[in-house]
Amino acid sequence: MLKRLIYILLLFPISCIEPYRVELPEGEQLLTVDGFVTTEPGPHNIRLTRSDTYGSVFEGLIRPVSQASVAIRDSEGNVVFLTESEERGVYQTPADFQARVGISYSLLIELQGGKSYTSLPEMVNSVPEIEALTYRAIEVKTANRLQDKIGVQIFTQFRDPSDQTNFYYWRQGRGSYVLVANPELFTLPPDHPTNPRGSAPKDCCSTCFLQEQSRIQTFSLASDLDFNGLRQNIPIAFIEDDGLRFKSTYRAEILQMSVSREAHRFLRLIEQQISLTGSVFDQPPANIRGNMISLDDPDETVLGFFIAASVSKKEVFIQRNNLEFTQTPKVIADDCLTVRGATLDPPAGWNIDD
Amino acid sequence: MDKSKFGLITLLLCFFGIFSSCEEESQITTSLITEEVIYLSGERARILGRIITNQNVEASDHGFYLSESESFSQPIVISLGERVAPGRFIGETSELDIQKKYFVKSFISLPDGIQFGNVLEVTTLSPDVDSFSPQNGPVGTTINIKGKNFTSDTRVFVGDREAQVIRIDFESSITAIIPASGTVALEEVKVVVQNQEILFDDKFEYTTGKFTQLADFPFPARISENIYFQDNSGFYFGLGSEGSRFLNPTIWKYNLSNNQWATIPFSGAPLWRAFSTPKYFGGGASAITLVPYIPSFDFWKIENGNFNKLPDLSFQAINSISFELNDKLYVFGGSVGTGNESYVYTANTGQWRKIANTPFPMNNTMANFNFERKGYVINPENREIYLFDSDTDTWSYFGIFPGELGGGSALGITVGNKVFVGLANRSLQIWELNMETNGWVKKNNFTGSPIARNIATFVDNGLIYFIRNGEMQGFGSMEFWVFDPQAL
Repeated sequence: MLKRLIYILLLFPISCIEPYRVELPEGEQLLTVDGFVTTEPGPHNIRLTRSDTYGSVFEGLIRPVSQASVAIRDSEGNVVFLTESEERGVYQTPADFQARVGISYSLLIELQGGKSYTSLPEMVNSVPEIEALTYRAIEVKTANRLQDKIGVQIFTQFRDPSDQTNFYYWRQGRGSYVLVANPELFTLPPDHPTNPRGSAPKDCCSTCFLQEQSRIQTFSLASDLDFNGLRQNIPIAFIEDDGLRFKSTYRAEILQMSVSREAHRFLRLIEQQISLTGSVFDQPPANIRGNMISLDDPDETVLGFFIAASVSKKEVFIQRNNLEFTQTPKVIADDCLTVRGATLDPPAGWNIDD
Repeated sequence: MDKSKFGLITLLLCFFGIFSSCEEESQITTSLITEEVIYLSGERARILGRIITNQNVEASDHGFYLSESESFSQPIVISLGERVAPGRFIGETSELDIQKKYFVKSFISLPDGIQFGNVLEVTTLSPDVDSFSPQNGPVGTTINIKGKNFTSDTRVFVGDREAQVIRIDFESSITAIIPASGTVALEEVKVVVQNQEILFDDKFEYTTGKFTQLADFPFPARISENIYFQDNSGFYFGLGSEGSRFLNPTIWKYNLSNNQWATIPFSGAPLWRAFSTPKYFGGGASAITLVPYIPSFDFWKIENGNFNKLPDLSFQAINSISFELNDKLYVFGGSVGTGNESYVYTANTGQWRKIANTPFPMNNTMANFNFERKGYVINPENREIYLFDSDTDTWSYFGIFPGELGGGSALGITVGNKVFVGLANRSLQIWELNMETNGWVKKNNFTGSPIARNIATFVDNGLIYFIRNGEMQGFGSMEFWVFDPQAL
């Protein structure tokens, strides 16, 4: 009888699942510098952090580097001292500081432990003015065949100067748009004691203004090796239509910057790294060396780049009726002021006629 | 030869050819680059070099040569010592002269000789000054000088006297101590960098002001809440209370011709907490009682040391502030009513007129002064100064008093185009306001006891005279002081 029972038990598949843990070597906590100064009025921010080990599970935490002495020195010997802002690890120049074209700038850092770092000098080259910003609606293929990405592509028009080699870097500033809601469609909550889901139109407000700053900065790069001295019309930004942004008017701010050859190379490598998709054709992942050097140990790896750039800034108001197609609009069946950050007053400088 | 042997030898030769090879010794080169001058100032250069090779090097030394000549004669050698691993290296020197051209190259001492990198050309920067602060203060003040490319031997001079340099930060910020003063208050500030002198446009102003105690008031009295005024012949003060207990019926005069105090005749009734200006006094109370006050409506005009009684006041003016502006007498606030009532007296018509209220309740313990056609009162709550314009009879905000107001009774007096405010109860500070620039400058601290109140203030020949009465619970007599605002 016992023998039979054993045979029966053996029929049940018995196995243990042992989770596979990726064993990674302990990563160095490398100083990481992120920031740039421009020809725009300050304050300009320099962020100092320490890298940490990144593994299959939570390993470490990127920590701000606080209480450091940070200064920016130009090629004429002028020094400005940066002060740590309320956000730890973020150091700000004085508000009246702005970089000058033709001058190179170095970032000087002295950490609490006494270690000193400097950047290689970054020369500020002039940038051609943005003559115009244009836009058009585009559809971008995605991995999901049933849902393409719809948005607006922004083009910058400028004339590249022929007498110098230019390296361009475009960023988006803070975007803002008219937030359209439908308070007349407001309904009572489902747990309402007398009239659940009953219609209860609100008088206000159907139009608000909302400012947004994407947490992840997208950017574009170009060098004039292929178009030196020619007028250009280059796509430099894509703003995805989330169903709300382009219901009425969207204001986009574009910063056209002229950076050094080394900064352009660094940003190009960053662009390659962040566009890795995991395919066999990807670039191999790697630490990209920036322009920061430890004065105590020149071979110490310091991540990040200190950029000094000249800027041409322009805004474009994207009108819905100028777009060939848009995403299916989302409906906010409530007062638009219920959306976090929405205001009735337009943001500073909102003037569609400009 | 035997054919079979020929075949064997041929076979052996073939094997030798197949299995033997030549060993070629590969030549590994070491490249040395003088990459960049990453820091350059007046005396300091920081240079980046790099050894590029695919194996370790056995360098007994490496570093940089700097020289004023392209042939590198008499170079400054930055020696960084032995080196094994290739890679970057940084050398630094602070032995350079300002505004001079230098040639720089890296070097590495290998077993087979010294190897040099490419040559860079640099010109050291010139020093300059930007600003210094504070621009005034007493001897020993710590000043900060902003500029650029200061060398480690930078010296600072105030006038012809050298200031002690405490430290130089980032070659752009000098902290120094102001040396002893000379004979003048305004002195040039000079920075000397490697024998190059740089002079500031602005001058440093030593804190001035000298207090001298004069002979004590000769009468055994402790007067307070009194009146005071002056004319060309001397200073007057009197009435008020004696020891805060008895009414004082006497007025004294300090004669400027013989520097003597004397009693002068006054036929009127004593007044306590009355107002006074150079030409008028009046109001106050006729008895020392607080609740309720027993107001006096007496109103007197002062003419050549004589007192002429004018028609009585039609309002109570106890502890009020008064100004003579634009040939009119203004009386503001006081300890009765809301403290905001304001009246103006026109001498031509002999009429009083009520005008707009003051912006905050006022009384004569608040520092006040007048300049040209305007009166100024400092609110002790927030140190805001409000000015009264006698042309329009309106009040407006003027600025903030930067000093201490202590327990009140600060003096406020005008000398030329300067106004002096301070010496409040329990404070040693006195400040000067330049009415042309609206800038405040602190004067030397009072050298007497701060536990006293000013009861009378006068001006003669650029000097400020004031009488102080110690706090009533204290001992001692009334003190008579003179303050020279410009003395070092």
